[in-house]
Order: sequence, then C-alpha cells, then structure tokens
Amino acid sequence: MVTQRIKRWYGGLSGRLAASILLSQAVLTGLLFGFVLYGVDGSLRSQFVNEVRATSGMLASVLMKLDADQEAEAAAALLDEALLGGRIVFAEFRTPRGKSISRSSVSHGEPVVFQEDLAYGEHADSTYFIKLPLHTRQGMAELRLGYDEQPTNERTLHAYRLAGLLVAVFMVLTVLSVTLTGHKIVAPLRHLRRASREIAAGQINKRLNINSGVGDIQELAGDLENMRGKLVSLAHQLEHQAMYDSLTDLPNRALLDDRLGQAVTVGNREKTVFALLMIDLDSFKEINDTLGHYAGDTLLKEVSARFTLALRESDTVARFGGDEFAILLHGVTEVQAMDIARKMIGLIRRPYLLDQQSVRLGASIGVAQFPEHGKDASELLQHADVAMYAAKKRGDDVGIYSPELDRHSFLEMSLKNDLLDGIEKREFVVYFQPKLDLRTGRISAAEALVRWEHPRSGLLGPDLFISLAERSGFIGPLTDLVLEQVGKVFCSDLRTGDKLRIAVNLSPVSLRDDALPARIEALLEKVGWSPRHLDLEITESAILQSPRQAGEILMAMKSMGVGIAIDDFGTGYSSLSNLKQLPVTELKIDRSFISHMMTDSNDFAIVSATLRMAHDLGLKVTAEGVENKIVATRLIEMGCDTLQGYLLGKPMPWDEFLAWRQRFEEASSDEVDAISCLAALPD
Amino acid sequence: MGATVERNFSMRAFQVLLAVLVLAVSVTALSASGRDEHVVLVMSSRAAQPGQFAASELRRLFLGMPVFRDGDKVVPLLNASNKEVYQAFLQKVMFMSEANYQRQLVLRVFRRGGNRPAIYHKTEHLVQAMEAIPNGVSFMLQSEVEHLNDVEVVQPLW
Repeated sequence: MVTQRIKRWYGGLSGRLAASILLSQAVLTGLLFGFVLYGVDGSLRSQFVNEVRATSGMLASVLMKLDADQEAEAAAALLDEALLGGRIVFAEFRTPRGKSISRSSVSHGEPVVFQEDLAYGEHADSTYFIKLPLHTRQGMAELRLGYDEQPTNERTLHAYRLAGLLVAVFMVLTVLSVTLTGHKIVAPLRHLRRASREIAAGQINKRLNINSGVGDIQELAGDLENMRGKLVSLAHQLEHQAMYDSLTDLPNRALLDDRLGQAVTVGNREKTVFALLMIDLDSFKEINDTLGHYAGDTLLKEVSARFTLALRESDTVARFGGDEFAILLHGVTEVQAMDIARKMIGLIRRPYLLDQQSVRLGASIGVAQFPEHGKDASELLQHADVAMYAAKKRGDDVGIYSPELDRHSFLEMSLKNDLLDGIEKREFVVYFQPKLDLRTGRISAAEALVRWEHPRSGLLGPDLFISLAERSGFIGPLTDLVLEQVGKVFCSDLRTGDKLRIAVNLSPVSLRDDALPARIEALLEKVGWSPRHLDLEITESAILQSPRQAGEILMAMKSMGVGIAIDDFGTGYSSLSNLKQLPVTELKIDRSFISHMMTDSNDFAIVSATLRMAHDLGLKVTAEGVENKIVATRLIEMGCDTLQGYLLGKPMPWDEFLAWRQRFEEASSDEVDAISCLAALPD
Repeated sequence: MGATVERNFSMRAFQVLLAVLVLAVSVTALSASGRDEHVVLVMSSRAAQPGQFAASELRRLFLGMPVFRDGDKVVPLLNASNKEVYQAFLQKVMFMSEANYQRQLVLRVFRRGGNRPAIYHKTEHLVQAMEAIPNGVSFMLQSEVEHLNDVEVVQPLW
C-alpha cells in the first residue's frame, strides 16, 4: 500500500521533480561540504604541525644554550613549565652524556611509547611525538616532546558536526522548498486535470478559475478556459439546433414534447387547463412542386411569422416538419381554443406573395384539450392529430377531438393490419360504372372501381382503404390485382371485336414507380388484354407531384396504346397549357362542377370553357357525376363527348354490368342520336 | 563438487590477498627506514671548506635568505626525493609545517626578491644539480652520500 503510494508519487510530476532536485542537491552538497571539510581538516592539521614544530624549535634553542649537565635543574624546570600549558604532554631532554630529564602528563606510571611523528595522526596514539637534535658545545643532545592531538581532533570533529548540521538544515530547507514549489506547480495542474475531466464528462458550465504564478500553467489554464467557452457556445448551438427548427426558428417536436410535458405537470399540480392545436397545411406540396422549394420555404416562414405574431409569448408555436405545425395554448378553454384555431385558419388563408404571384393556402386544425382529451403529452398529441385528420377528411377547417374519432382511427389501424392479408387472399373485387359515348349513343367504356370484401367489416369503399394502401406501400400490389382481375374478365367474357374500354384509376404513388409501364405491359400480355382497351385515370395533383417522372411514365404508357385520362379535372392546380405537355387523351370534369352547372353560372362557365379548350387541344371530355337528364341534355348540346354518373348507373359487379349494358343497348338500338338514347334511361 | 571447487578458489584468493597485504606492509616498513638513518648536510664543492652552519644559518639559507661563505653565496637545494627526510628536515631544522614553509618562501620572495630554493623530487636530479652548482647545499641520507664522489659532507644534521 505504502509502496504503491510512493510509486504513484514518484510517477507524478511532483515526485519526479522532488526526487531529481533532492538527488542533485544531495550530491552537490556532499561534494561541497566534503571539499570544505577536507580543506578545513588539512588546514587544522597543518596549523597544528606548524605550531608544534615552531614551539619545539623555540624550546630547543633555549635548552641548547644550557649546560645540561650543570644546569639540570633549570632544564627540568623548563620542561615542567612546558607541560603546564597542557599542549605538551611529554618532554624529555637527553644530554650529550646520556642523562635523561623526563616529564609527562600523559599517563600515570605507564611508560610513554615514543614514536616520532612526521605527520598529524601518525601511529594513532593521539600524541604528536617530535625528536629534535640539539648541537651543543658538549656534543649532540636530544629533545623529545609529545603534543596532545586531542584538541585538534575535537576541533575537526566539531567542524564535521557543524558541517553535518548545515547539510541537514540545507537538505530540510531544500525538501521544504521543493515541496512548496512542487505544490505550487502541481496543485494548479491537478486542478486543471480535474477541470478537463469534468469538461470531458460534459460539465462545461463551471468557469475555470486558476491563479498560478507559473506562466506556462497560467497560459494552459487560459487555453483550457477558452476551449471550455467554445464548447459552451457549441453546446448552446447544438442545443438550439436540437430544439429549434432550422428553417423557421420555431421550437421543434422535441422542444414541444418537453413543454407539453411541463404543461401537463403544472396542469396536474395547479389544476390549470391548456389546449393543443395540430395544424396541417393544405396543398402545400403542390405549391412547393409548382413554385419550387425556395417558395415553399418562404411560405413556411411566412406562416410561422403569422402564428408567432398572433399568439402570446407564453404560448408555444412549433413546427413538426413538412407542413405540420402545433400550437400549445396555456390557460384556454375548449371554446377559446376553437376560436383561436379559427383565427389561425383566417391568418393562413390570407394571400401570400410568392415569386410575384399571389397564392392562397388552406389548412386543417385539430384541437385537443387538457385534461379532457388526454392525461399526458403523447395522448394529447395523438388526439390532436386524430382531430386534425378527421377535420381534413370531413373537409372542415377545424375539428375538436372526440372519442368517436378514435374509433375511426382504430378501424383504420385495423384495416392497415388486414390490408396485405386482403391482397394476398384476393378479397378485393372490381365494380364497373358505365360511360355513355354521346356521339354514338353506346356504352363505350366503363370505369373500374375497387371494393374490399372485408371478412369482418363487410364491403368497404375505396375512401376507406386507398389512402391507407398508399401510405403503407401496398398500392402497387393492389393496382396490379385490379388490372389482373379486370383483364381476366374482359378477355373471358367479351366477344372479339367489342370496342369496350375499361378505365382503371392510377394512384399518384404509382406515378413515381419507374417500373410501372413494364409491369403493366407484362400483366396485359399475361392475360391477353390489348392496351387499346385500357384507359388509366390519374388526378392533376398526381402529375404535379413529380411532373417530369410522371410525364415519362405516361409517355411510355401511351406508346403502348393505353389511353390517359385526367380525373377530377378542375379541382387541382394544373392548367390546360400544362396538360398540353403531357400525353393526355381525355379530361374528366369533376362532379362538383357538373352537379351545379345548371344552377351556378360560374360552374357552367367553367364546364363550357373546359369543353371548348379541351376540344381545341384534341382531347375528349367526360362529364362525371351526371345524375339527371336535364344536365345530360345540356352537356350533349355543349358538345360533351362522354357521360358518367348515376343517371346511367351506379358502379356494379361485372356480370351485372354486362347484363345492364345489354339491356341498354337493346333499348336504344333504334335511336339515332344521343339525346334520343337518354330515353332508354330511367328518370 | 562445484561447491568444493568454489571454496578452494576462495581460499586461494584470500591467500593471494594476504600475501599482497604483507608485501605492502614490508615495502612501507622499508621506505620508513630512512627515519632512523643519519641525515647529513652536504655541499657540492669538495674544495670549499665552508665550516659548520649554525642552526639559524641553515634556517635562513633554506628560507631563501642570503648566506655567504668566503664571499660566495651559498645556494640551497631542497631534497624532496624522500618525503620522510624532507618532513624531518622541516621538523628538525626549519621548525615549521610544509604549508607554512611554502608560504614563508613565497612571502619572502615577494617582499625581498630573489628566488625560492630549487626543489628536487628525484635523487639523481639533485645530484646532477649539486654537480652543476658549485656552492649548492642540500641534505641527504648518509647512506646515499657514501656512493657519491662529488659531494662533501659538511655536518650531520641528526
């Protein structure tokens, strides 16, 4: 444990710094004090030797002047005097005649072992012995002296101790200094490391505040703070991008979900109410396709601006993507929410100036009220959505949620699940509605209309499942199924030479399928059905969604011999000049114009103008929704080519259609013109 | 087997080390033998009869101060070929340490001019110098002087 802590400490900057400084200081200090002590020691020793020799020389010169034999007492007294100082611990004077006068303070009774020294500390006897020859008149005498080395040893030892103490103090100060410096460096670095970890963990809002006297660290801290600042800015941008729609700068779905959740929480706590409006713009796609994406974007921005300006700051306007918007209205009742929704419709309907063209727009709004229509955010969203689609389906501008709508939604969900199963089990049947050729007075064509014999819900009309099939991607197989069934009955039941044409409706989704012409050609070939007996009916909006692709597909069909009819003409945005570019052979004027043409002069004018211009372009015209003979007669007079509607007959199964056709042709076989043929029809 | 060989090797190494130590001690003892020998003051010129030098004269001479014999300046030649003899000379004649002796020499030369006594670390160099310098005076072991022809013993020192 301790070893690991030391290893970790040594592995860090502080440890490395302290260790290297301490090591270098220890080596340098050791060398420095070693040299100093060596010098001091040598100096003390040299000083001792010098003093010893000088003192001995002086004593020798005095003794040399004495007649040792005659003045022995004086010599002895001199030696006694010498010992009194304490430095000389042994003194012996040997006369030329061999007489010895000796004094010692070294030992008590023990003989002195005299070994002459020429250097300090020699013979390790703590005494520096010196022997001097004395050239006297009587001959060679000798002076022997012993000096105590102990005081010098003690001085040397003291110097060593002092040096050791100094080294210890120096090292302690070094350790303290290194520790303090290391702390000053490492503490901000640790702070920086902690801060960088926090930033890496996403905690970027805490400001970095590091004050270090070390410039590099201060700069590093500054850099990190700059980086944090940029990250904060980037995070705010990302947060904005995540929560706001880039085109309109309105809150997006995620932010609306969040605010809706908060509103539900507050509503539950404080018993307050609020409403959610779901808005879907009508015909936006057509405008986008016709005038371009830039115009579409401008339109969406303008709609957003109108919403924002009309509502309070506390309300939330969000864009759901595409042409869908949602509005969260705080503190409003159901009635108030409906009023505001109608006001929004009014705002949307005001004309927009796009690319120097005045464009009008419609919308459908669904309203869901808290807490009556939903207890949580997802439920409210779902119910507002249901209300909006219900309103759109009804053709209303505004609709409020009711549980009844949910049941319809449930049915739709159920049908969606059964759809593929129904196609595989061939639960779909085709009904035929006759078309009367006003030039020949004969039933020249029929429109094939599909029905679903649902095992649980009975016979279902196309309005219940066609758009479902389009949304769920099953429209292709369903179209193939219809064509195959029609082709089979046509080929098996009609005699050769029968000129009856069958019109089959083509979904806008199918016009985005480049493989459609080849698939239809293969199918016709398989059942033996000539393309010259087939018309395909498409709506104006189907072409406008992708005009170029649709044009190419229709061109391929026409080259096979298939006729192309524009269904529900007059309800969309296309013009005859646009249609001129397409391989269209027939126009079918929408029933809304036909049914009111005898009472509404505008509708009459439209029908009349359409007939005239279509004929000018070489197109045949069919009037849809003809329900009485007055309208039929008027259309015949106006030069209409074909009639279709309940006046002739409702859509009916194939066998029934064949029988009806036979009866009609038998009844009208003698008539010479179309008006006369009408007599064969019931009033 | 291996352990025995290693032990024998260690023993032999120890014996060799012991022999080296004994040899080293013997050499030290031999080199120190000069301490008990007589040291004499010598002069290069046999012809000269300088007479005895007093102790104070010798100190002055080897401190670089002028000493004359028969009008000629005596030249001191320091013999440092034997360290013990040199130290003993400083102790018994000059009465000072080697450091102080060098310091004194330098101080005197700086103050009064002249030259420091020449110092010889090898006996043959000293002998050559004595042959070349007529009034050269030095000190040598008596045993060394006996082999030399061109130097004259002036007086024993100790």
